[in-house]
Amino acid sequence: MKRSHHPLVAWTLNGGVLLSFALLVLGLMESLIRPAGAGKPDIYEIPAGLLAGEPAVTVTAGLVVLMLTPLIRSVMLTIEFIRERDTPFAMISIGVLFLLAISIAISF
Amino acid sequence: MPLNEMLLLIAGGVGAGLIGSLFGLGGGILIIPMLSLLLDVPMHNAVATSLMCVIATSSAAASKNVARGIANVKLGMTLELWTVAGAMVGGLLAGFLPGKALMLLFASAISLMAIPMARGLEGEAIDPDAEGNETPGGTSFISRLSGEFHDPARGLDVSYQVGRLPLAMGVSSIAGVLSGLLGVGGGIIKVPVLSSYCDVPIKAAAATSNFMIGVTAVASAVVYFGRDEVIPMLTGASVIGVFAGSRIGSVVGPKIHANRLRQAFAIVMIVIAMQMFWRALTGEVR
Repeated sequence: MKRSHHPLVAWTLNGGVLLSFALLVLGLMESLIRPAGAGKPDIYEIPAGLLAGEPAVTVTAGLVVLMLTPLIRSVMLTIEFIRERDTPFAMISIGVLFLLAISIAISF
Repeated sequence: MPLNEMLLLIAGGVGAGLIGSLFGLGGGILIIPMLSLLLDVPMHNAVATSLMCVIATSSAAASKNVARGIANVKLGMTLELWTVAGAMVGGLLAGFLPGKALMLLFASAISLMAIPMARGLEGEAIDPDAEGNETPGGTSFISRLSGEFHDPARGLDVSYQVGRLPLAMGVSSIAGVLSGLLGVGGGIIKVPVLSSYCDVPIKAAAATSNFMIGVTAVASAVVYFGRDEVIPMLTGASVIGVFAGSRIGSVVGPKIHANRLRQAFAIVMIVIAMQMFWRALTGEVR
């Protein structure tokens, strides 16, 4: 049997895309029943909006999951490198996470 | 969102994703002209939509390439430092540029991509059978970037050592800026350089580039998201379409001779670029 490389990373990417896709399809279907707002809802409105079946909120949640997917796979890889005591690559992956954190901090 | 508008976006996305996948251009590259020229969507919103499409298509492909060991994860992480920094700069820079300037830059970029395709030069610079160098032993940083994978098409185990790392880093920064600025993946410049100059076999180069693209696109997508330039319903429908189209492309691609269509498609790209130049120089661009 073939060995799967970095199974947790592959699973994270696949699972993230599937969850995001499901939320996007659900949001678009909701928009056929009730009209969606034109603007982007606030990120803090997502939990309540999801429960209320707000189409734009459900789609925004799908897009947020989509953006979080590569971010979480970077966290997974960082944990992998730290557990393997692979200091150079752990430092590099922490560096990538640090840059992403700056990007998020300057955006919100 | 009205049903007809949603179906139009999904169908357009399927077409863009399918064509992008068949010609190795990525899912997002055709969605920008489709949104900006046909649907009059402002350029910044079109770029934001394209970035989301890029994250979806690259994450799905990367999950397979990582599991199969074709993507060189250590090389990818090392170069991501540079692509992510570039993408942040590109995303921030786009905020200072008007839509007209973005359209001109995008038209210039796709013209440059189309010229080697139209002249039939693409592929000559890359040897698809290149196996790179033998994997050396050693514990130096560069030797730890070496890779090994099984190529089922040729029934061979391929091993290689990465060369010219500073060049790969420099090109990755440029690819990152282009990604953040224009909403493209950047593989079109990373893959040829990695395979032709850095001794990475073409399959590993493409898979490693794809692995990096998702994180790179996120670095600038959050910048667009924070500026409220992501239109949820439009983006959601486009992502579904492009994702479905690129999946269809990955299934039908190996069965059709896409190379024969490359030159014809390059001409289409040049026509699109001309239309974008014309619109940017004579019309109103939002």
